[in-house]
Amino acid sequence: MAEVNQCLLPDELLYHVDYNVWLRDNGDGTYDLGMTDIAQSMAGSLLHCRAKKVGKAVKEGKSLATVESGKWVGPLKSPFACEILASNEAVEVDAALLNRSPYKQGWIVKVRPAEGADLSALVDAAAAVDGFAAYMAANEFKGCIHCEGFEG
Amino acid sequence: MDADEAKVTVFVTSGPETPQRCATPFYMANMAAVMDGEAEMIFQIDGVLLMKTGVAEGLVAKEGGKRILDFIREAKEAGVEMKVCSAAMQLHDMTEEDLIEECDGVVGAAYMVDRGLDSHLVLYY
Repeated sequence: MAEVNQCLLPDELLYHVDYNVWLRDNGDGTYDLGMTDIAQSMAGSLLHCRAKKVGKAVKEGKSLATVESGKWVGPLKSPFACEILASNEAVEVDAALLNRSPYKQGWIVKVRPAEGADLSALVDAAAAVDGFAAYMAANEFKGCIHCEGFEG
Repeated sequence: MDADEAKVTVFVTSGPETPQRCATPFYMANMAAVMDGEAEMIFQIDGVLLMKTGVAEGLVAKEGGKRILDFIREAKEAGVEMKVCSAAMQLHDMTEEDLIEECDGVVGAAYMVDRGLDSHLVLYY
């Protein structure tokens, strides 16, 4: 597993560094998406997560879901044009799952890229390390914080 | 209607004398923008003071909490437009030189009525 400033980046996932999201290629033309360890650490204790409706077409850079930590709110941006196929009810009920299990139980939406969608900005963990290090430096973020029960 | 098709307008009349009312308007506008809505805030009466240089940086809704200026900056970063009422500027003897850089301009009453009528969601604070 790749790591940058105590932040974990599982090798089997893809990443969009600028949007701070991970993707799991399900091998059937669909992808699961979620917040990276970096994103969950920067957000702090998350209270709410609300995905857009299943069936919704979302453009590149637009919001797939919103997450709130009480005094902060942010989008889960789509790394490519896609359709939302499913959302994770578990994180809508208990958003702290995003803190405890960002890469396992904490997937937020499953999507299918739109025809002709540009996936070229996605990189693997090794290639994402330098980009995330620069992202963290630009945001003056020193390193990840893992809550009790963190499972990656 | 989905949030990304919505026009949201937040009217803010509360000012620094009621700091506990000053964070939520920015938070809600920020949320609307993060959900890809078109969010705009309009500051009237004492609300214009939140757009005055030097006011929001020393103001918190709750002791120990985040500065109102930080709420303003986060909302701006999300794409929220912020406009002030010209009459309220006069009420507080303010000129455009008094406004913080995050403010997008001064508007009149007709603009505010039009904007409200044209919105899908209007919030008042």
